Amino acid sequence: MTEQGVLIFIYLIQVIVFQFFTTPLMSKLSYKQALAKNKQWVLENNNILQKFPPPKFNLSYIAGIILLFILGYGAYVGNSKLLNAVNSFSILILLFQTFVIDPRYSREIKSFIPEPAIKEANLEPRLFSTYLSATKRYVLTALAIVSVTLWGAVLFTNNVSLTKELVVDFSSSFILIICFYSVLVYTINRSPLKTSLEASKYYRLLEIKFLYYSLIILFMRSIYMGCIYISESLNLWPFHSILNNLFFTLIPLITFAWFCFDKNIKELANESFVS
Amino acid sequence: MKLIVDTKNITPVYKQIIDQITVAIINEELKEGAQLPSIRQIAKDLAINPNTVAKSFQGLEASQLIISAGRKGSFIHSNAIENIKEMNTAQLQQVLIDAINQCRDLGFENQKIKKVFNQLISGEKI
Repeated sequence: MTEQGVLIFIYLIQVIVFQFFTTPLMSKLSYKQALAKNKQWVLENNNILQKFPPPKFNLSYIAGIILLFILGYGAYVGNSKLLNAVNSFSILILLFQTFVIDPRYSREIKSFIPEPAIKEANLEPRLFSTYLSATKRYVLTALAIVSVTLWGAVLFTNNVSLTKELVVDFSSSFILIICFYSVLVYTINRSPLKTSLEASKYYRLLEIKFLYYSLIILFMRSIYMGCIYISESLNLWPFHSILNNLFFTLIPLITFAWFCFDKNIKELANESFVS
Repeated sequence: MKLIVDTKNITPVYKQIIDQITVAIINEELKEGAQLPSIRQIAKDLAINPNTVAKSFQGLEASQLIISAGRKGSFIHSNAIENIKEMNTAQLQQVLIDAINQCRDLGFENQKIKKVFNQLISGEKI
């Protein structure tokens, strides 16, 4: 089997496993789990709003959707007709799951969650950077500077086709991130647990973390692409295609794993409370 | 500054927001020219409909307590405190006019109303 064949085979397995089995199963199980837990809360706690709801279940669901898009994009990069067909079909499955199956679970869970009467909000204007620690701001700034510098260097080589390729690559990454973010926000907005303020705080944390790590992926990716283009144009750094593809798959996955375990997004704890 | 709304209160939520922002301006917790969070941000924090917050902001803008600068956001009006004072003066006038009319309906002369009013203001026993 050729190298391209191996890649396509790996992508095919990944796409089928994640898009047809893992994601729908995670979604179904997580909703059932949430339903069971919420029933239990209502039964056990008279003052249910003092308890932190367990919105963690949604993380696995969001993870599934993000993986789906990453792998779908991988399939697109793999550029096989079979993969594209599988990917397109699996997106139909996702849409069916998102618009038909999940709302049914949502309605069922929602009926068990009371809405708090007293709600609080901070009246100071906040930007995305407000929530990031100094270290996180430095990391983002440094990556952005390196990324822009490399881009400048590529543009400086005055290679029209290279520049076009870079612009297309960066734009596609950017569009991909917008897609991820839209799915995340959509998922959050229709979540049954959003009625609880503690849960909505948790979802805002997810959104901010998502934006932060997405930007990291975007900058790292553009740095990597910039390095490849420059080295290729100067014949300095012959990258192996498997290494390239591993980068495209592994970096988002590693960053996403980091995202899942990082809790250090500041100041959200003082934002809103359940009363 | 914390904005607190009680959805079980008889006062509508949009009015609660207007009242709290007005009080915050008078107490100088929100200084003139200070930026407010976006409508969406407040609605998100409070888990309420953005239209409710928009209605509050419209009310505050109509009273010239805030200025909406399109996508830049909303800011406390540079004459917000004076505008509140003017509004309060108008409210005071209305309350007094109503009280005076009630007194006249009860058959009191202007002289008597003035006398009782002055005594009440100075804290004397009537």
